[in-house]
Amino acid sequence: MPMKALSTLTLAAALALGASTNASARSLRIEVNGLVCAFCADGITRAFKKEPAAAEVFVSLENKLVAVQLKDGADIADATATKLLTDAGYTVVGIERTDATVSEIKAEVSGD
Amino acid sequence: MTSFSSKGLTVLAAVALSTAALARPISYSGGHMLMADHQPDMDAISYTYSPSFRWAVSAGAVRATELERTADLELGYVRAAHLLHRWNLPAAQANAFVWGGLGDGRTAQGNGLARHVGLQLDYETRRIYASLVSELHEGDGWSHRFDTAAVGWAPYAHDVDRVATWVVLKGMRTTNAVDDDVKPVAVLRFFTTRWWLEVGANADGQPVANLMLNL
Repeated sequence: MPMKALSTLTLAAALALGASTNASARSLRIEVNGLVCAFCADGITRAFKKEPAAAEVFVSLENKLVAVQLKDGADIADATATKLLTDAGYTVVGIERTDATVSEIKAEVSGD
Repeated sequence: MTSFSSKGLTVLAAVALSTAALARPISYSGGHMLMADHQPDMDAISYTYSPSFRWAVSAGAVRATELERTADLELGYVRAAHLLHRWNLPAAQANAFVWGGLGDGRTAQGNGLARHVGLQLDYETRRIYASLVSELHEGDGWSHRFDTAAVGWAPYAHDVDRVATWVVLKGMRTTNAVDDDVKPVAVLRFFTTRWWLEVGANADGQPVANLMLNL
């Protein structure tokens, strides 16, 4: 297979994975590098609150975590979430979709 | 250079550096920030808008009382700052910032154009903070470089729902000044997601304070 065609296939696969969504998920759990300062992390909360599909946002410096609860029937694509965090100045390590609410995620990470 | 201009510029530098050395010169994307600063011989305010996390524009004003109280220094300036690079690590962040600005400075000798450029390197975890700031101020017939090194320690690791507390020690030095010794300053720093407060004292026991608000 020519190198160019292989690159195109690789890019298409990466885009398909990056655009993955799961309409049944209630929240996104996003692992983020660079989360060390509450004063600076405020920008993350504000950025996601502008996103129409976001119902609630929770940031945990201790767990390097940004959790975003989705509105019913709404979703935020991985690529969109990654762009919001990149534009806020942080590096996304991974995105996981979960059926837990933000309140449940808060309770989980705080050990309640 | 007269005694006044050297001392006046030293105060001016302390003001300008206080903005950069105590915090980052750029807020988050879309962020508006107000800053008020008090030092023994000056008061300053500034406003910063960051269209992205890589850029910021600021406007500010400074009024400094010359040490011998023979004249005041007043400055209005505009500044652009740029984040050259950010290193996002699992439990730390490091940054390299540069900036430059122009101002109108009023001294005992009259009004004149003042210009400055600066560089900041910082490293921060939730318990340790370190920064180096160097800023060059120039005008007609004068030039000063102002260097600040700061280290901080947090007694506990804060999170977004808890007030952060830091102990920060700084050493500041000015070139081409009447007194170019390294001057120590110690402050307590408190901040949440919306506000930032520093209170402390210099080596002579004179109070210093800095307040910032995220709007």
